[in-house]
Order: sequence, then structure tokens, then C-alpha cells
Amino acid sequence: MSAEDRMFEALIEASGVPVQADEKAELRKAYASLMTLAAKTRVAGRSWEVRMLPGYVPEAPEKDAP
Amino acid sequence: MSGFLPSITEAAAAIRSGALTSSALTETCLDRIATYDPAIRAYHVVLADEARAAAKKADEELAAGTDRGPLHGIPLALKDVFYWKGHKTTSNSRVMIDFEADEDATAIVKLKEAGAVLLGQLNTYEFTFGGRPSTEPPFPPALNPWNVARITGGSSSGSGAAVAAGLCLGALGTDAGGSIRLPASFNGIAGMKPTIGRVSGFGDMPLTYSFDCVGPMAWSTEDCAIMLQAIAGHDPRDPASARVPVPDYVSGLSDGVAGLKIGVIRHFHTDDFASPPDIVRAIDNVGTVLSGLGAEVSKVSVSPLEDWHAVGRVLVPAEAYAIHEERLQTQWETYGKLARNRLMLGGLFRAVDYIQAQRRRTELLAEMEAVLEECDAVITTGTLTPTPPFDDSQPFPFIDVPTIPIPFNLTGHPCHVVRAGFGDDGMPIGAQIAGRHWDEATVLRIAHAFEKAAGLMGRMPELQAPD
Repeated sequence: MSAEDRMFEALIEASGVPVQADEKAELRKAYASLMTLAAKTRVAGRSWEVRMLPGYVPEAPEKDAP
Repeated sequence: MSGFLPSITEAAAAIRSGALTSSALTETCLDRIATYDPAIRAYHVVLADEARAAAKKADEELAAGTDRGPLHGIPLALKDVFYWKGHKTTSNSRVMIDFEADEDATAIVKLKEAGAVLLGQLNTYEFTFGGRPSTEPPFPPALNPWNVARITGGSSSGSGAAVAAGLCLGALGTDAGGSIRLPASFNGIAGMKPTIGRVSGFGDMPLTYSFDCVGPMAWSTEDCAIMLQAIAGHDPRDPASARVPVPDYVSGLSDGVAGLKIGVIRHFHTDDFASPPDIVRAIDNVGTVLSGLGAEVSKVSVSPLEDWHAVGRVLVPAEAYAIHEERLQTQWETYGKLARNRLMLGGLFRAVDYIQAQRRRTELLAEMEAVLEECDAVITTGTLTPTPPFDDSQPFPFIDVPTIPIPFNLTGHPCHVVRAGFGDDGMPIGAQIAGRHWDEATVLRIAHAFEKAAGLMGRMPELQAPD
């Protein structure tokens, strides 16, 4: 079992989501493509000053959605 | 006429002149829905009695001298994702089949305040996750009025189909990764994803927290501008809603494009992905037309489309999974198969994947901002491929083919789709026009100028009424 296989199996198990075997096989194929895409978001030597955009807002909403 | 129905502007003028009533226009829409929607399936629910009552009230108010503006008495419809008191909101999922909010979404509140007549709820992909439609959810997917064997694009599928088929004068959609702009492109209509924070998302069942935008879809850019005017503005109930003044989107529409600098991001559909020649020609023609109107049009470059696609394919599913995690754990079988697996993709990322993608997003935003410092707007294609056939056998078609709308979800810039031409297969082709943050007005002005000069809006789908 490859490291990617082990990671996939662990993530599925840790999710607590009851994915069926046939669907898991399709997800495994997709996972390989997704990890290729995730690798493309990494830039070698990127400065830590490249930050993620702030996700906060300075004030709380007046009312939570139901 | 604008398509099969009068435009919002034409209808508003006719209602005020006494040549038309809201009630008569609403009946026309209801008749068309009864005739054509069985073949198009744009509507999830038609609320005929409520629409007739709202139209009657609109006529009475106008007769009494109360004028709520250009949407007063205009029949519109809504994607089935907005909280609507007294009605179920399902997002086309069995998971939400009995959900009924106890208040209206802010967009509905604003449309009602503007006097609009709401005809009903429109179909969507389950939980608005894009890709391809599925026949599995409880309500069948909308079909493309131009060719019912082709997809509408999604997830605002019913909104695109209803407008194109003349089953309402305008519709609301939502867009986290192209869900307004793809159906606008595939159905040959106009659709605006505003700047993130411009329109309240309160009461819109979310796909993501970072990207969801509510926006208008209509036959023309002018009608989109009128609708955007009604729904834009700060809303304290939405923490992502911005305190930014809302300009007049309509009065400057005809100011022309002379002197504007417009960049064409051509490499997205020529080098990064090989779109067919008919799409390339159509998008080139947008630049040619705008240049002929006095705009300074030039090619501009940013990172390859695959880089934007990669960031979007990490962030959107990850956020969607977080929203659905508990329900996926406890109601897996209740979801449609395609939707649950698309959502499950987001559970396969680690926190570091999400954060690295967010950091790449920062870099990509800086690139687009640099381009938009030099240009007033940029143009890209609205679709990379011809409108795909209806086929739900591929679970994840959106992973391997880049997503052309996603750059402007990642950057938050306003982005509007206009009809740019027709493919060799007779299907519409859309172009995206994006502008600076909060500058929807310039985007709409460019789109309006193109629509008027290109003269492409006279062609309508040949609708078939079922036997």
C-alpha cells in the first residue's frame, strides 16, 4: 500500500462517513487527481509573508442564520 | 421584445403607461410555464396563486400612486436555495425535503420591497455543487431550451433555462465556482456574479463560506443591472456583507466604452486549454467589437488556468464538506450519489492543503489586481468547451477539465457573462467580463455596449411544447 493509499484510507476512516466500497473506489481515483492539484498550489521557496487572505470581519452579524 | 417576453425596462414602461398590467404579464408568464416548462423543467415549484395575488397588489399600488421602481409588478423567479417563509427550500436534496425557514432570505425581502412578482422556485443541482446534473435527486434537472439533449450548466440550472425560455423576466442565481456564469453562457443569457460582499447571502443555502455570491440572471445586461440595483447593499445579517455604497447601475449603462482599457486573457482558452475554433472566434470578436467602439483592447496574461483551477478544486470542496460533514456522517444514503461523493472530496484534504491553496490564492489575486490596475476590465471566455451532452455517468467531470469561471471567485472581482455568439453546433457561447472590486457599473457598461453593438440577442431557442 502506497503512502497515498494509506492517507486516503485514513482520511475516509477518520471522517466517520459511511462511504460504500464502490464509491470509495471512485473517490480513490479522484483523490489522486486532487492531490496533483493540491501540489500545484505549493510554491517552492515561498516566503511566509505570503499569507492567506483574512477571513474575519470586524463585527459580528446581528442575528445568526437559523 | 427581449427574447420571448418584454425586457424589464420595456415591461416597466408599458405598465406605467397603462399599455400593460402586472397581472396580464404574470398570466403570460404562467401560460408559457404551463406550455413549455414540462419540456424544460426549469421550475421546481410554480406559485401561481401567490404570483397572481402579488401582481394584483402591484397593479393596485401603482394605480394608487405608489411606485416601487422598475421591478414593481415584474415577474421573476428564484433558484430553490433561498429561505422563503411559508415555502420549503430544498436545494434539490432529499436531505432538505421538509426544510422550511421561518423568514425570507434577504434577496427575497429586497425583491418583495421592490414590488417584484415571484413566480416560483427554480431547479438547481443538489446542494448547488456544480459539474454535471444528476437524475438522482428528488427533482429532475432542468434541460437546455436550445437543445434538451445538452446540459444547462449549473448549478443555477433552472434560472438559466427559465430566462432563456421566456418563463420569467429574470431570475436569481448563486455562484461559488461559476454557478451563475456557466448557465448564463450555456443558455445564451446575461448573468452577473457581483463582488463578493456586494449582495447579502443571508438565507442562501451555502455551498461555501468564502465564495458564494447571489446575483441576477436575465435576457439582457440592462435587466441584470436593474435587478442588481434592487438586491445590492449591506445586510447586518450576513457577516460577509460589506458596508460599501451602492452606485446607480442603470443610468451609466449607455455611456459607451471609448477610452476604456480592456485586457483579453486569451491564453486561458488558447494555450492553457485548447478550446475549439468557434469559441476562440467568438471571444476574439468581443474584443474586435469593443475596439470598434473605441476601447483600447489588448492581450494580458496571468498564471495558467490550471493554477487557478487547482486552488478552486481544493478550496470549494473543502468548505462544502465542512458545511455538510455532520449530515454526510448521519444521512449519507439520503444524499444523491453524485452530490455526496462530490461533497466527500472535500473531506480528503488536510488543513495544510487548504491553507497552501489559500496562500496561492493570495498570489493569484495579486496578479489579477495588477492587471486590473492597468485595465478597466478583462475578458475571458465563458465556457471552454461546447455545451456538453446530458450525461451523469461521470462522477467528477470538474476535476480534470479546468473551470473557467473560478478565477473570479478566487479574486472576488465582479464578473458578468454576455452572449458572445453561437457555436458550430448552434449553441450559445458566452464571454466573461470582469472588473475591479465594487465596480460592477463599469462591467455592466462594457457588457451593455457589446450587446447593443454585436446584435446577437435576436436569436431565440426553438421551444417544443410536449404533445
